[in-house]
Amino acid sequence: MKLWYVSALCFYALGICSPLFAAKRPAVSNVLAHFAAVLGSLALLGLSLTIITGNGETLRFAWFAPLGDILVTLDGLSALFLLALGVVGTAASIYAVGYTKEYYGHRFASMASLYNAFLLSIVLVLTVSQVFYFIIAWETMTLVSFFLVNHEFEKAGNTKAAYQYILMTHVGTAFIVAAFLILSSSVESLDFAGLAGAQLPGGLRNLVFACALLGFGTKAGVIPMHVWLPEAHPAAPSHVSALMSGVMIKTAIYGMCRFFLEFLGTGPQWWGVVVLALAIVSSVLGVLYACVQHDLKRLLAYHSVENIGIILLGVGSGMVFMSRGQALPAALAWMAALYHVFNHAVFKSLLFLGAGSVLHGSGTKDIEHMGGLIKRMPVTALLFLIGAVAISALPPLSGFVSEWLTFQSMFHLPAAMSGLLGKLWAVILIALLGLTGALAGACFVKVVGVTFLAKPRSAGAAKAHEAPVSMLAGMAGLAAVCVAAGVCPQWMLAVVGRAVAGLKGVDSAGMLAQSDWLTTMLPLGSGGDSLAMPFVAVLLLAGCLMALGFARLAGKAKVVTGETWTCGIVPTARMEYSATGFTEPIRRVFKAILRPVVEIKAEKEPNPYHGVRMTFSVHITNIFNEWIYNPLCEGVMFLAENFKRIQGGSLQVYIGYIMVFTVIVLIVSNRG
Amino acid sequence: MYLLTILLLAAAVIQTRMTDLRRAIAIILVQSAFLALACAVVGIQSGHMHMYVAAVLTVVIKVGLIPYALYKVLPYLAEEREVPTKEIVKANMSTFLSLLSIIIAFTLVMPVIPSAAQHETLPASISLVLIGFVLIMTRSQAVMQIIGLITMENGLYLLGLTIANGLPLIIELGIFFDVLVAVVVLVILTYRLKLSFLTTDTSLLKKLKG
Repeated sequence: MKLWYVSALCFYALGICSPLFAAKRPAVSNVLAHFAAVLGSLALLGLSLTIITGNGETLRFAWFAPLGDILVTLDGLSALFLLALGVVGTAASIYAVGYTKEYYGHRFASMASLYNAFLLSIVLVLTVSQVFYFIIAWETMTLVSFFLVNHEFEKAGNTKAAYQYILMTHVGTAFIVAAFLILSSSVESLDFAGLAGAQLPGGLRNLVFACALLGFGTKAGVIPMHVWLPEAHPAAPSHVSALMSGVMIKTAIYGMCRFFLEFLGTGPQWWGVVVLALAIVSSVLGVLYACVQHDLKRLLAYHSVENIGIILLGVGSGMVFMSRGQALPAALAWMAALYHVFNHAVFKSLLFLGAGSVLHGSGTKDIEHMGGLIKRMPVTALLFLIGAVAISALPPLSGFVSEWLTFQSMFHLPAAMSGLLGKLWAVILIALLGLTGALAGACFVKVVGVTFLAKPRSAGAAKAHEAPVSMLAGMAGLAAVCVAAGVCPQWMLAVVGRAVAGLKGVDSAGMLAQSDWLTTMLPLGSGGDSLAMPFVAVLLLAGCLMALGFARLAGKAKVVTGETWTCGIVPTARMEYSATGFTEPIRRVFKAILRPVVEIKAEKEPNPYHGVRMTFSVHITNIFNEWIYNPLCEGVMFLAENFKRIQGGSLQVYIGYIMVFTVIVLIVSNRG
Repeated sequence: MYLLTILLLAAAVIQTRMTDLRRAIAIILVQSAFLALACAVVGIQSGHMHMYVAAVLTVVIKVGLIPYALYKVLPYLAEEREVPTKEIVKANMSTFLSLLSIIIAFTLVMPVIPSAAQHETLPASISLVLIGFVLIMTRSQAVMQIIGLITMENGLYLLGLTIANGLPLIIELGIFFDVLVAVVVLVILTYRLKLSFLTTDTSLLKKLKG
């Protein structure tokens, strides 16, 4: 086990150094760096499989560590996240070989090196189990990803996005550090194993909970701390966005699991309710904002916010069940959350990589300028479609299974909540999760339809070319995992069950006892709790085949004579359904939240009856910036302006401040 | 020990009347020599060997190297004295302020100390620190500000001597090295200041404000 772990780290380290060996030849260093990253990720897969099939282990590295030994815990929970990192890392690294070719000459060496450093730091975050080294790893991950987000600093807005990102996550880190230090000072231990036994008074325990939730919530992109996420993800190169969205924000979920499952243990019911409230706001608003985006990568970033919300719905339900002492539903809820972590990592990375190849092929991120790409890049279109089906939670792919599990666990929520209001709230939560799913489906109908179908809307889209083999290979691997995790969920569910096994308040031991290769049976009450995914897949396949068969039977297309359409003009790309048009009903229904500002401009032509060029633009108001962050910014600037007055520039005055302060301290200490 | 304390304070007060840089350096030299003596006296009283080492170091660094460096930089400076018209406050005022700080230190600190052996030395050391502040505040010549810094440092050192009968040798070594480096850097900066602004009047640094 140690061998796997150390070899993974060594491969990544090799990848970090590799640009040094071939500084002048980017093609060589490309292959070296990304090959090392692939090997490292494969070693991670080996490591997590070893943990899953065997038992967890704690490694201890004593060398030159100034703050105690470096402890590395390889248990079920780490293994699950490492598995996700291994899958996504392997695919993204293979993809990167082709994708990063366009960065030759644009600081390619630093990008390849930082990419490996990013993978390395995520591994450390997921395995190190000592407070100080964990925080160091956490900050390293933030800093490395900051440089990756800021890689293309020439493009407008990227630097701003990067600074927004690092500012938000630093504030988050402050909360995380506070949470850790309160815990570790109460048990006088820096090891994670020691933190689990912390006996805190109620108020302090709530403080730790709040700090952990805020700190990790910022990294996860929970609304309203999400503002960095839709800016930073589009700014980074696509294979990095895939890792950031797929794995990096999941490290925050990992941190929450450690805190809420291990360190703090079972808490009062309102903890779970708070998490549920944040979760439902994130999922509904995340998907709403996603629906009205035109930038493909920004749209996917908002979907990350939504999916983090869905994961947290599982987490929150789990916490409510734990507070009620219902170990079995708690296990189901946590398993649903963690399974969605894995699934989201896979299909979101697939979608980001797909967006990267669309960007690579057509040269634009704006879906209003795409269209017809299915003819130019058929393989990418198919793989993107698989990701879209998975994220829309349609059977038989992986997203369906984990959302089904989330629903199953939430159906037990009304019974667990206390009070009529609590029960009502739980029912509304379930309905809102349904709304989220429906909107996600609508959003991806828009994305796939506008991007890949119809005619090209711009010259770039008309000349789009298919992505190279390495990019397609990386995406195909992820798509295969999506299908496998959907059709045969039992294996992954067993892994997820092991991740939460043995923790207090959670009982996952008998969860899959009645399941076999065909059906997943949940031992929770009556009816509606079994799922036979292979059967579903076969049914769907049969349905598709039947449809094809009927189409064949109906014979060839016939020419039908009818009325003239569009005054006889041959339909052009400008007559197509646009993304803005498609989401108009959604904008209208959710006007109160989205606050669209419509602007219609008509340019005056000499002849008022003919050829008036009109432009239509719609702008979504971001209420979180408007209500929270802008006033906050103004307040800080106002304070800074006022504090500037005491900075007179005179050395003597500064020394005077120190002297006055010294005398005051003397006086105060004298009185005390 | 009392005598030495009084002499140290007296040297600091006289310092506030100096406008000529050359004489000011001479006085800081004398003050540091008193400090070295005080160090040796504490060594005799307590019988710690390392106090003698500290005394020797004081002589070498504060009586030797630092004044030497300050004298070295003097020829490069056109104005070897504080210019009366540019004074921030008159010499009388700065003497008054230093006396005031002695009073503050004694009234504030004296009542707190339970009758310790060095009953008067502790407030005296604090007043040395405050006089150092006054020197830096009321003078605009860079060299005078370095002298103020050394005065403060001497005060802190005296504080260490008084309270703990001297600090562990390794910490004292650290402090000496720190002061030496600080003064050397300051001397270099003073020289650069002269090159850039043609004067070492630090009130011109106001222009650097952002």
